[in-house]
Amino acid sequence: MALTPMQKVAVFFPLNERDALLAHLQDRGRVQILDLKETSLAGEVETSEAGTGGEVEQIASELKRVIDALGEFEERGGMFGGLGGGKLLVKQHEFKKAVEEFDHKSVLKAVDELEAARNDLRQRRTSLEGDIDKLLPWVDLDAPLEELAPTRRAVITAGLIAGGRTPESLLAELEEAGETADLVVVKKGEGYAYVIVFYHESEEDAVQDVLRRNDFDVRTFEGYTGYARDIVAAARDGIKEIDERLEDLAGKGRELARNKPRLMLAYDYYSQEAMISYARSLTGSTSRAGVLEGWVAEKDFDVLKRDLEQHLGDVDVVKIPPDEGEDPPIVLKNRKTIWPFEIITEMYGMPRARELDPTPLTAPFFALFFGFCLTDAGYGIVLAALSLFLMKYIKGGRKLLWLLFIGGLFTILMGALTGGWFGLSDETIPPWLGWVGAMRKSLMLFDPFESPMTMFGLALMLGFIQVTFGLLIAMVENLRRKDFVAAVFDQATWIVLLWSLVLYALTRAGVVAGQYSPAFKYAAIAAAVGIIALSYRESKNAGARLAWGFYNLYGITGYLGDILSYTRLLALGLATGGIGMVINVVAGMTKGIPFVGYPAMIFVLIGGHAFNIAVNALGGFVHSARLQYVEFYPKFFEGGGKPFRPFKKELKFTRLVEEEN
Amino acid sequence: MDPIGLAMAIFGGALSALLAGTGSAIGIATAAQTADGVLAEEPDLFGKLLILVALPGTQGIYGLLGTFLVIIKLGFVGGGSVSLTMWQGFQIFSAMLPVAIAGFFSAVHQGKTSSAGVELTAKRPDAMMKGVIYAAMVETYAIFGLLATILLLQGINLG
Repeated sequence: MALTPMQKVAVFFPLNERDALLAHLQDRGRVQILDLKETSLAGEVETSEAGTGGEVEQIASELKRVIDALGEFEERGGMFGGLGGGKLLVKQHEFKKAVEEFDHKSVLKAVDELEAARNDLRQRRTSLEGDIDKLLPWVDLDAPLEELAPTRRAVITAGLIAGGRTPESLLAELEEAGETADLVVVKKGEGYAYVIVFYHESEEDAVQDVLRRNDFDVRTFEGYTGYARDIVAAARDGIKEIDERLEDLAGKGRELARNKPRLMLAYDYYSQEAMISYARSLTGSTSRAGVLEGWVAEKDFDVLKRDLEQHLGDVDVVKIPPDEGEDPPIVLKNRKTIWPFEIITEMYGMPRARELDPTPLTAPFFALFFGFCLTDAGYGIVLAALSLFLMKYIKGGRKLLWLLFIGGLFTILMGALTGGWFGLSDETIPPWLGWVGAMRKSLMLFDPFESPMTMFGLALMLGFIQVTFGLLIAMVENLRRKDFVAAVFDQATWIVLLWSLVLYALTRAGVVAGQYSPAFKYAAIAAAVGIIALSYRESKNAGARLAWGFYNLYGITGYLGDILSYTRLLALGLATGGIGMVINVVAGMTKGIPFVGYPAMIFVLIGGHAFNIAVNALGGFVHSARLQYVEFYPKFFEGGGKPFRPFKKELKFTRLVEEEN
Repeated sequence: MDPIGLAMAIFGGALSALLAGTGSAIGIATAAQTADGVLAEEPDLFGKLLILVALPGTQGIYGLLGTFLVIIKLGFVGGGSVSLTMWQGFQIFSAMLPVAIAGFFSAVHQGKTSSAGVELTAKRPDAMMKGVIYAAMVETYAIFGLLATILLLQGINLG
C-alpha cells in the first residue's frame, strides 16, 4: 500500500558524450528527464531552445505518412514472418545496421510519385465522369454543341423541364407568348424532358418569362465542341484507359508495399532518434560540461550510478533535493495480487505525493463487484481460462489480463453461490448433465431469480460497507495527520450515524435483538447533534455554524443515493443470468429445426454465450469501476499526482529481442 | 381468462424490446457515425472505438430481457399460457414501462455521450476508458429501470 520512493538526481557529463548518455538512458528507461529550463538551475546554465526532434523527426513523420499510404496496397494475411503481438522482432545490434543499409529515400520518392500519379489520374477520371453525366441526355442531338450558341438574331437555349410539365404544354405557352418561339425535344422520359428552345431576340422578355414560370433548368455547353455522343464515347474510352493505368499503378504499389517492414523499422529508428534529439533540448550546458536533472526510483539510484559510470566513464550522478513545492512523479507499488488493480487507480488519476494509494483498498471490492455483475460460474471459468490462455500468447496487456483472471475467479464464486452455470436452470438442464444440476443445487445459497430481494439486500449491504469503509479510511488519514477534530466531526460522527440508523432499522425489522434499539437510537441522535454543531468550523458565528451544520446533515441523502447506486450490481447480475437463460431457451427451440437442428443449436449456444460474456464483462468492469470512482474514492481520495514517465524506447512497430550469447 | 388482460401483458412485453431496442439503435447510430469519421483519419483506433460504439447497445439487451421475463411470467415457454384478469394484464404492462422508457432515453443520450467519447479517443487514445466511464453514467438509469421492472414483475401475483 504505497508509492515507490523517488529520488531526484543531477547528471553531469562531458558535452561530447551527451548523445551517448541520452541513448544509454533511453535504452535503460529508468530516468524521467526534467526540462532544465523549468528548474532552479535555469539561470545558471545555458539551455537550448525547447523543441522539436529536428530533422530526424521530419524523417520519421515522412516515413509514417508513406507507411500509411502503402497500407492500402498491402495484401492481407501472412505479411511478414516473425510476428510477436503484431510487431516486428529485431535483434538489438541488427537494428541500426538494417536501417542504414536500407535506402528509405528512394522508396519515399517512389511512393510520392506513385501517389501523385494516382491522384492526377483520379482527378481526370472524375472530370470525365462529370462530362458523361452532363452530356449523356444530349447524345441524340443531331448537331454539334457549339451550334447551340445564339446566332445574330435567333436565341437558342437548351434545358430540362420536369415536375408534370411536358414539351407540349411548354410549347403551347411559348406560342402564346411569342410567334417565333419553337422547341425541339432531344430526350423524353417519365415526367421529364430535355428540350431546345428557339426564339427571336425581340421576344426575349416574353419567352424568358414563360421559361421561368415553367422552372426551365438551363443547360449550357461552353467549352465543348462536336457532337455530344462523340464526346461521351471519348470520355468512356478515356476512363477505361485511366482505370487500366490505375491498375498498373496499384501493381507497382503492391511491389513497393514489400518495403513496408523495412520502412517500419526505419520509422522506429528515427522516431527514437527524434526522442533523443528532443531530450537534448531538455539538458543544459556550461562551457565545459553538460547537465541534466531527472527523477529515478530510489532503489534504482545505485544501479543507475554504477551503470553510467561503467558505460560512459566520465559521468557524475548525484542526489539533489527537489525544488520547493516540487512533488516527485508517482509510481504505484503493490503486491503481486493487488498489482493488476492499479489499472483502476491509474485510470482515475495518480495519488498525490503525500496521499495514500487507494489500490489495495479498492481491489477486493472491485473484484467482488465484478463477480456480482456476472454471477455465472461457467462464465467465470471461461473468463479465467481465456485470460490465462491470452497471457501465454500475447506479450502486452498482462495487467489487464490478470485483472480479468481475478475477476473471473470472483465470478466463479458469485456464480456458484447464486446457482449460475451458463444460465442453466432446473428446467433447461438436459438429463445427461444431471451432475451439473446436482452440483449447482449443492453450492447454491439462493436463486436470485426466485428471491431477488435477497440479492437486492446483499447489494445494498455491500454498498453500505464500502461507503462507510471509505469514511473510515478518511478518518484514519485525518488521525495520521493529527487532525483530530476533522476525524471526529467529519467522519466518526457520520460512521456512527449511518451504522446506528441501519442497526436501529434492523432492530425494528427484528433482525437484531430489540433490546439494543434505544442504544442505537441515542447514538444516532448524538451523532446527528455532533454533525449539526461541529461539522462547519470555518465561522465563529454560532448561527452560521448551526445553519451549515443542518445543511451538512442533509448530506445524508447523498449517502442514501450512494448506497442505492450499488443496486446496479443486482440488475447487472440478473441481466447476465437472464440473457444466459434466453440463449438456452432459443437454442432449445432451434434444436427442432429439421436437418440443421443440432448444428444450429450449438451455434446459438456458443455464439450467444460468448456474446453475453463479452458484453457483460465490459459492463461489469465499467460499472464496478464507476462505483469505485463515484461512490468510494471521493470519501477519502483526491488524486491529481503526475505519473512517472521515464525516458525510454517507445517502438511502434518493432520489438527488440535479446541478443543470444 | 380475460383477453384484454393477456393483450395488455403482451403489449407491455413487446414495448420493452421495442422502445429500448429503438433507443439502442439510435444511440449506436449516433456513436457509429462519429466513429466512422474518426476512422477515416485513424484506422488503427477501430478496436477502441468499437467498445464506445457498442455501449448504447446494452439498453436493447435489457429491453429484450424484459420481454423474455414477461414471456416466462405468462408461461409461453412451455407452450401454454397462464390466465390473467384485465387488471393483472395492466399490472404487467405498467411494470414494463421503466425498462422500456428509461431504456429508450438513456440509450439515445448514451449514444451522444459515447459519440463525444469517440472524439476524445481520437485526440487522446489512452483516455478511452474515461470516455467509457462517462457514457456508463448515462446507462445507470436504464439499469435502474430494468431493476424496477424486475422487482415489480416479481411482486405481481398471478396465482
